[in-house]
Amino acid sequence: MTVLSITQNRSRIHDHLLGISTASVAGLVNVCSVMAFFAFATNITGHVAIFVEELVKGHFHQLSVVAVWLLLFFLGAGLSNYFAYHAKEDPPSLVRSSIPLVAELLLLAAVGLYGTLYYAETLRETEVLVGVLLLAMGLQNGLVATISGGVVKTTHLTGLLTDLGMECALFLRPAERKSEALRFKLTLHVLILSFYAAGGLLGGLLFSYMRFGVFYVGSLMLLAVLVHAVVAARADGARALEEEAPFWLERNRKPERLSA
Amino acid sequence: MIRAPWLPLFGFLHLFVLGCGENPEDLIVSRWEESTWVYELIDRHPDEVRRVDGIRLDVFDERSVTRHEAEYWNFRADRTFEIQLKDGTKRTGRWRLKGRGHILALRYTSGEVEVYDVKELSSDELVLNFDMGMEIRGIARLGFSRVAPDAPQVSSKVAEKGPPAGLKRGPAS
Repeated sequence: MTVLSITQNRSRIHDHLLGISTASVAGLVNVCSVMAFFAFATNITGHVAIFVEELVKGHFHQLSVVAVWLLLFFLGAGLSNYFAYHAKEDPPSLVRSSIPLVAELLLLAAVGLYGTLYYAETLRETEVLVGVLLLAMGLQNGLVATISGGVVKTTHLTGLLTDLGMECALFLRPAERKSEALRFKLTLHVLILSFYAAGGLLGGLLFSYMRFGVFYVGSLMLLAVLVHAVVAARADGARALEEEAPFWLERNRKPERLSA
Repeated sequence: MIRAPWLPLFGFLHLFVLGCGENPEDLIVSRWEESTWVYELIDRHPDEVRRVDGIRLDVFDERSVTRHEAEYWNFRADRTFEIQLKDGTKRTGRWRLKGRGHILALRYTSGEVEVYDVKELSSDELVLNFDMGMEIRGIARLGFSRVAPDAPQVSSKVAEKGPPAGLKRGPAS
């Protein structure tokens, strides 16, 4: 089993690893987006509020831009679920569940490449690049939410802090404190929040030196998740083959020739 | 792989990408004359503060905040700008709009950077907020009116009114 496995019997460590890795990327991307483009890449609540504000003010250009950003995030989440849903079929396909992550990796690398080589700081470029980042974050959030059964959400910090507040309150009750489920969620949410902040800090520090090259760092972090998933899947496959081997050999064993 | 239900969404996206409303980068290209200058979110009465260079500078001595008494701000289509000061000197540099067109970044040829929130940008009005930072608790709001291209270089209205002001802060880190 890997961090990208979407079977019912995912282990908790997989959810922790998935949350840690993707929350770091989300934090890095969000902070770098603000530093480079003055626009958030994961703050959907804020974008909806801005959408309404621009609507009230009658700023139709800005309204259309924010609408496209929201739709791109929505589209990313939808596409991720489309692929991950099919990956739930038996046997589960690591290739299909990896597609959104590969797409996100390529999108981040594309932003890094364009920003380094071609970005002339026009408003249209800024709007498109922020849109690409929102699409990437939609892909990521949709994927992790789908494969973890809604347990892990790495860009939804409003909900995460709400959950964390409730879990802390429950943890204060001695009767609830021993609950394994509560401890798991509390640990998961603290880890996601911490690594989101750490990713943001890393992004902020690196952006000063690397400028747009920092988006390659996000891509590399996602590549590490993919490599881990592939290696774990191969190890699982080899283990399963070893377990299956005697039966397989038994079924396919040719009858021994009788010696003359 | 992408089936029919997604197509309307792409159509909708395409419609929005084409854009509706005027592009802020086109709207801002003009010569703008400072018409109002107010501070917001401060404890003291605006009339009292207006006589002070900056807001609560006694607390933040290290911050470089000065006034540059501008006659007009000229934003050109090649994304360069020129600010004509009251004493006749000119400041030049490059302007950029960021975000969804709500951030105006001015990068002076000297290397200094100023960042403004664009609160309003229409065919006849430009309103900029200069955010002094959370700790200073003050926002300077600059109002501009569009000047006709054939208008004289120095506006008598501004000259009579006294020095309109802008704020300058040190190079962005």
